[in-house]
Amino acid sequence: MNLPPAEFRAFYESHFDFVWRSLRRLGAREADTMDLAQKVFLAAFRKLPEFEGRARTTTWLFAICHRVVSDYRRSAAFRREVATDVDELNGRVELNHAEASGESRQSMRLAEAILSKLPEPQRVVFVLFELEEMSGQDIAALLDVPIGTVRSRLRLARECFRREVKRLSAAGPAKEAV
Amino acid sequence: MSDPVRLLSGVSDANDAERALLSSIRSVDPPQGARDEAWAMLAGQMAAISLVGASTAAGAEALGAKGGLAWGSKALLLKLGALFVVGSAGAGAYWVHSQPAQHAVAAPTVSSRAALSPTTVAAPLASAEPVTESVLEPSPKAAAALAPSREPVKRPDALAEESSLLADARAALRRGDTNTAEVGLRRLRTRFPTGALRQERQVLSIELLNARGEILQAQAEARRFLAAYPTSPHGEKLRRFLGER
Repeated sequence: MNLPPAEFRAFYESHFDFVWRSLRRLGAREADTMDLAQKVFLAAFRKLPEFEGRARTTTWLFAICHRVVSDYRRSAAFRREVATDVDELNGRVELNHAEASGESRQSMRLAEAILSKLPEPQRVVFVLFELEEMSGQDIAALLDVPIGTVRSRLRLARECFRREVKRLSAAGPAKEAV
Repeated sequence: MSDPVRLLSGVSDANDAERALLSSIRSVDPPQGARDEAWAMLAGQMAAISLVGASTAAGAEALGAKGGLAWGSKALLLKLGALFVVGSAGAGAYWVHSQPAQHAVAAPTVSSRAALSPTTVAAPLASAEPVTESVLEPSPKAAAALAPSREPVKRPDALAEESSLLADARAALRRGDTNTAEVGLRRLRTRFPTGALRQERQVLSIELLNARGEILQAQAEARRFLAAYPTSPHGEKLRRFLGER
């Protein structure tokens, strides 16, 4: 029986949550994340022997996540479904009056909807900097772009993020989003 | 020039709403059981890759570099497993557990299907795939007939098609469309009764039963599956399913 190497299972166990979170933050819908996570680990399984350790493992995995999600977001099915979700959220999400049990989920959906509106280069930088807490230099190295480009994308992403939060907050109490 | 202050930092000028939203998406952890479920599905696909020879792997790299392989919209298996299983141990491309190896891509013949021993086929599932038929181990004669062959695989696209159908059925079930999932599973079973992804198909059938509320039937099929494949990577998930009931 040709079992996967125990080392890879350990690698998988150690990084599954990170990959899941990264995919979700990069815009993967919850229902699709299982399949996308498999794609990421299949790619990692193939590429791991080539991994030279010049970057952190999580940075390397994030790069794979980024490529997988980029492809996924280009798919027609994703664009159609996300458009529906964003329309659903627009104008009917209330930030401060949801019940405690549903509040975080509602906020999460709203945050996902806002992030999905960002152009992909900006979203990636925003996620890496604000959520993964990577430095600008590390992001520049990961994306192979100048540090100035990273800062420019971050600035634009923040402006868009804040504009959307302000707009949706101004909508006031509304129906439950979910 | 240093990095700007992060929005979630205590000294940033982010307001409460911005902080709340960012914090919410910071902890999008996977649901319980997702890790095991993904691993169970991943194992078979990794096996398909592992069984591909070095030369074909090199081919995969070449195609991957052209953007035509690794980042397709369907599972990586569709291309890795299907395109490069040719000439390798395609018949065993699926992760072989304790079962006799089934031919992964060769179209099953009437005689090979008939040689299976569906002794409990009299109790098929009411609406989903009759797992009972396909769960059973083939007879020794059938097993020999279905054993991996060293001959070149004749239908390298078959595994891709099987995987694609399975992915579609799974996606339908995940979004709650049980009717479409059932149609997909039936189609899978018709086209690939002894396919490389047979275990995945059967587990999905059990999930379908469960989703429809046919709990007892699902449990019975889960036990039958575990008896047939005691070391399957799906075993842990199914045992957990049985233990929770």
